[in-house]
Amino acid sequence: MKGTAILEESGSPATAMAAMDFDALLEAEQGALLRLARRLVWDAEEARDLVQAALADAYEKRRGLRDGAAGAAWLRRILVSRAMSHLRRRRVWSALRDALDWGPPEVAPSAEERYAGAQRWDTLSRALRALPTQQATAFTLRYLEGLDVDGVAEAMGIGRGSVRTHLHRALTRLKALDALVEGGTP
Amino acid sequence: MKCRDAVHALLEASPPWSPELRLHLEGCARCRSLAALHVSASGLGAPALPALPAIAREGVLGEVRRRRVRRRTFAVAAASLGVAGLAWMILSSSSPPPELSEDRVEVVDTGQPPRPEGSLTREAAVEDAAQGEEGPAERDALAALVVEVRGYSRRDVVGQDDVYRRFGALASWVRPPDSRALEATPFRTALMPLVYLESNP
Ligand SMILES: [Zn+2]
Repeated sequence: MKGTAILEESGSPATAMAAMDFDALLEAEQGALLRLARRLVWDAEEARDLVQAALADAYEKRRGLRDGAAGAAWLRRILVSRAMSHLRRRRVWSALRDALDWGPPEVAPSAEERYAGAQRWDTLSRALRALPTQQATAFTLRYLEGLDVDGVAEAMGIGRGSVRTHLHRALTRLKALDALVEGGTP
Repeated sequence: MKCRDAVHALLEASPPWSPELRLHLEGCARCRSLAALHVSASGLGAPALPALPAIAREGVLGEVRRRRVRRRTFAVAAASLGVAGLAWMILSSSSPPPELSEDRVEVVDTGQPPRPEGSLTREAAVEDAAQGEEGPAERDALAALVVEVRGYSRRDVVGQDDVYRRFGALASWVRPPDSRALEATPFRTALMPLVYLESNP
């Protein structure tokens, strides 16, 4: 607990407990967060940076977490929020790059896509990047992460109705982009 | 079942569909297409990717420390900027305007031999006026000009304007600082004799 203690303002038992819980949470949830971040942004380096930033957010907000059992969902919400901001910025930069004719951002497939290898992931990851952030995030959480509609709504901080709308639009767009076909992937 | 309800139901579930939804899908091509896409997407699973190296607690705490330093630096910079801005506002409202430089002074040829350097004193001006160089009309015009200039430069133009009166005290707060032009040495030297003449006709 040495590293945590450096940043503690007071040494009260409650604070020590919060620090302890945070470390336990970090230990237990980090793997799941890294996997989720990768599916959301499709880049190992970006995913790792995002998780580190989200964990730092969580550390700063840890006193706001009252129910220890809700820790996993709480961390996921923080990460999804960070990831969505990241995806929005990436879309803006991508649009700017296109507008200024700086050339395509990534001509070669990323390490993720190369590793995943299969054509379908390559196509799907590129199509997801072309989707509006909320649609891509809802799709990833629902279909790649396997959350139900309530879980997606909770992670994204939006209502169930909005989740269904984003999912409906995402499915339709992905079909239009040939990244998803009825009855299987291309 | 309407299409809207069917879409809601199928996005939240997976086959086997409820009899009600199945009945709707049999008769609705659009919802059937969406259901097929939903089934394909549900079957995607997660891509197999190599595990990423774990993030050490020290890395997270280091990030927290960097953020604190950044926030503190930003706060100090913002406060310094605020103080500098305030100081600039105070100084600029209290400092006199720059003196007129020699080459900006317009020289009027009166046909008289020039006075020796430094002769523009109250006595010299009174003497000039007494010699009848300026008639009453010119003197009145000059006095009116002084009043007008004083009015423009010292009057609270914004605060006293009818248009702004309904804004109350706000008009006084936003008014520009008083001009100190008439307090500058050249003006004082030039106008003092005139004021003297006005009070001692
Ligand atoms: Zn229908």
